[in-house]
Amino acid sequence: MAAIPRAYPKNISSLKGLELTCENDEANLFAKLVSLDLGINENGEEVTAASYDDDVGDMELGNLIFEQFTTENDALSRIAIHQAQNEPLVCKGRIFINNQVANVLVFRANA
Amino acid sequence: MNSIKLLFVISMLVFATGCPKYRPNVDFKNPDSFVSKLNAYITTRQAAYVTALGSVPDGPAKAKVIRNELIEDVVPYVDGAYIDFITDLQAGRDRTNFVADLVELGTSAAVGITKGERPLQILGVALTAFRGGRRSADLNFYREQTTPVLITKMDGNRAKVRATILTREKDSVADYPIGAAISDIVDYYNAGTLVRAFTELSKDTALETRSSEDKLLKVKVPTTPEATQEIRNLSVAATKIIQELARELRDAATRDAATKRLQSIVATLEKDTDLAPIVKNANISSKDTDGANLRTRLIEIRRSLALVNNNNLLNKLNQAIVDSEPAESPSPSPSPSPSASPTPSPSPSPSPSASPAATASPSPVVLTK
Repeated sequence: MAAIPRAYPKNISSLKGLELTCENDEANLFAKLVSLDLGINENGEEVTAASYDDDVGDMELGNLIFEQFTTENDALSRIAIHQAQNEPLVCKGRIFINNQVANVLVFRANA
Repeated sequence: MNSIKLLFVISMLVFATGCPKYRPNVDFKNPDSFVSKLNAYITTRQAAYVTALGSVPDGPAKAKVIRNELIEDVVPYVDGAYIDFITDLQAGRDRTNFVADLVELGTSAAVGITKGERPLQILGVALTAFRGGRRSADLNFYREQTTPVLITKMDGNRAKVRATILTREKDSVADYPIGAAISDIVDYYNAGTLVRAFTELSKDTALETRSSEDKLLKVKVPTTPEATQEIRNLSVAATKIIQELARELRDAATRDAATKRLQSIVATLEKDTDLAPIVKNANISSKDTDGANLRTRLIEIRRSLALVNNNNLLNKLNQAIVDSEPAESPSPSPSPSPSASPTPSPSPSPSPSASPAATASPSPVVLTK
């Protein structure tokens, strides 16, 4: 098991844009997304920092659901709704969307 | 006329509730005030200190005792003034807010029961102005901080200075002369003022901002550009095929077909001038018969290209994988050819229709989301 770090631009166009980018990386890195957080690169630019884990087995990669949340209660309700639909929580983190910080929940889509 | 009266009443309320005091009430100019008497006491003790300092033996030790007595005699009075100040501050602001709330609620109620367009307009304007005035007062006099926050900050500031004084009382008079002690007492007084509370709160905010900046993860990889739907679909389709190949390689019945498909993918890559050196570096060739090794190396090549964001070569590789997929029959046939079926076939040799070259499709994307 090895962690693979990735960085995404602060000005990524939308939540959907980040979702597609993470799905693309899951597929090409052959690794599962494990975390998203705010980061800073070596040039001092703010980025969305992601981490992937290459221990995937037969897991289906590249089908994620990104949702923004506002409060802790909002997050808990969303997690419960997706769990009921057999869509496990991948991670809960903070990201940059259009240069703004946002809270995000990521679920793995029920294939 | 009515509006003038109303505005007059509101203005009176604003002025009557008054502006805040920024520090404990001490009058340094009044010769009969308590502070002046305190100053006189300090002057007397200072003279005793100087005398003790020059005496022998134990002059410095005696002076140290006088210095510490001076501090401990004066500090309780500073504390007393501070307690009076915060009590007034809390009570005064509560009273002001209560009266202001009453005015707002009363005016809002009046709007509900007043008839006529003009009086309603006047009440509306007056209410807006009053609310604006309250907000301005909170912003300018209290920097939008609640009284408990300000008092807590002042308490904290005072505790810090007091701790410093207590520590320095152990120092000799050479290290902590009476002038420094008096300076610390003044600092202790200033620590209990609103102005110092505002300053310290600003510093806290700056530190918190800095701290949250420090919490940003340090990332040492190049920034990956945003992927499009088409690129993502191609990558996911290629991954799905690689995962299917893993299952097929585990099954003895499909292992050979899976290996041949992997060989055909590698053969396609070997024909590409950009990808051929990468395949060679990975120590694989289309003639290798170890399907599992071919698959593992393909995964590693894809990952290496993704890590350096070489999307051009990555897309070529993914396209080669996707194109290698056997074509599905356009319409279900009553007797499907074994070569078109992924199920085990009695004759493992693929028919021409199942060969990678024949199944190469110009369609770049297999899966869509």
